[in-house]
Amino acid sequence: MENKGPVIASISSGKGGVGKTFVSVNIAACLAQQGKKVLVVDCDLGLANVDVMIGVNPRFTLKEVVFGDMDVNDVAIQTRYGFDFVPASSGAAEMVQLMYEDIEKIKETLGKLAQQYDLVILDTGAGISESVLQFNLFANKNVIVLNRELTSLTDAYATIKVIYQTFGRDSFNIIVNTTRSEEEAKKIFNHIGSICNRFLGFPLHYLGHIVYDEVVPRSIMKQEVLVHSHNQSPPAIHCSAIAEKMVNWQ
Amino acid sequence: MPIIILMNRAPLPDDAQSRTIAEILSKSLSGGQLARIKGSESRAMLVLLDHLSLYERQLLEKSPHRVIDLEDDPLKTIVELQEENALLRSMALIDNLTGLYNNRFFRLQLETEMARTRRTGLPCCLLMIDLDNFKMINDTLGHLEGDRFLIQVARTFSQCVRAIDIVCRYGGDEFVAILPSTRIFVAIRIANRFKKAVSEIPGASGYNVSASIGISEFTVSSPWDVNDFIQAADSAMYDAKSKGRNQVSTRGRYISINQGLESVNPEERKAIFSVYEKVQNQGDSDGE
Repeated sequence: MENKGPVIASISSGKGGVGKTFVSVNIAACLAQQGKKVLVVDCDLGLANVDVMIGVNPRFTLKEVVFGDMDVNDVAIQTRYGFDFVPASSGAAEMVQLMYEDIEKIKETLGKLAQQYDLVILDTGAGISESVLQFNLFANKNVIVLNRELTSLTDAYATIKVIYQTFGRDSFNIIVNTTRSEEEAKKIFNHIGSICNRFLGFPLHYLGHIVYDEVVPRSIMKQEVLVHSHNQSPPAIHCSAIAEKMVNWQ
Repeated sequence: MPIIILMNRAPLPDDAQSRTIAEILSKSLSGGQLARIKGSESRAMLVLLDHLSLYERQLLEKSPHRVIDLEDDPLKTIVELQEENALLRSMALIDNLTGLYNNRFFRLQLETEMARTRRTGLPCCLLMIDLDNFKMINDTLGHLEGDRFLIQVARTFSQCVRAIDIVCRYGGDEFVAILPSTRIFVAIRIANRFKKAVSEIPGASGYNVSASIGISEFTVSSPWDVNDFIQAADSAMYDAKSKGRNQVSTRGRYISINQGLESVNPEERKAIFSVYEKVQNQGDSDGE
């Protein structure tokens, strides 16, 4: 069971602002703390924000991989949180609507780089664009982040449905973010799960929840990674519980 | 040229009619059987209507004497049939020069494949291939050499594709390939194979002949008809040309968030809304 290759997990939500990047970065930091070799890829190609979240200012991005002839290997940087990071560019119009062959190029070069890691986390963009779909296809584990808002629930479900209809994927791992309690998270999960079961014919998997806490917006504002700056806070503990589960995916 | 005799049912072994058909030789049209008519040098095709594909049926429907009833004397109708054969040849599916399927067959087959996509949910891809600088060969070596080159290209393309793919000559130096049950990423790989194969044809590099290839993908959610599908591949091909030739370019579906949301039907929406309401109320009363 040793040579199974890396776990490649896509983190999607449909709706923006649900906490994909927060989840990606904090889970990656947790996994790195546990001694795993982790790579975070900012797959929000036109509107990157992982770099902002961890306070780095990358020189090269995926844009140079697509339009320059740089290898993704040379674009990847080490972060002080123990994981490596492939940045995307922000505000690059040409990156917003990539052609298939461009996405294919990213996937190809990323596929090689991924072999050096235990876990690769793909922080996908908002919406259900072709690139979001393609990164979900590229991943071998699909994670969906949602919260209790109606738009988030609807977009998460739409994302699941489109990925299922496009690629036949029927295994999705749910993280309920900014929840008021574990009980509420479970309730949301159970309801959405039963809707999936009823309309699409498959159940969802519960990956975890992250409780709302004031420290989260504060740490984001300060460009701190919560599991480092407030490692005993409830959301940090929840993140590491999720990371714990993801280790078992290996 | 074979004569085609169409029957609505298989002749019984001791049927008077079947005795005139001495020997079934081989298959030609799908389900068709090649037979020799006793006492005649003519070779006849016995085709059972049930075995015909929709397209073949449509093709034959245009022929006035297509069905010879079992009561009829086939020998008597041979003259009529020969006329019919000329018509069939004029409606042939095969491009005379290259031996590939022709444009007419391509359009009908594309329609069939689009219907298959709608039924199975598996996407279908279309490659529009235009040879770059082919005119150079025609202009400097003459049209005979040009034709020879096209035959080479046709042969090369046929070797590049999988058994399920259909390569057709679209016209002039344009070719098309229908790739059924294929996602665009696989189509890109096949297109790149075509591109490489063209560059390896003897003489191609000397005249700077290469291939510009446009790809379009048709999925269940595509609102396209046949013309739109072809048009998409065509404009992708022009993209490839304008990007400097010898390129592969694509057109397909871009799913915007709104389109994605449209996939959620009213019933699902209602169910999600009720989840929202439950959670919202619960949370609010807990909080108070």
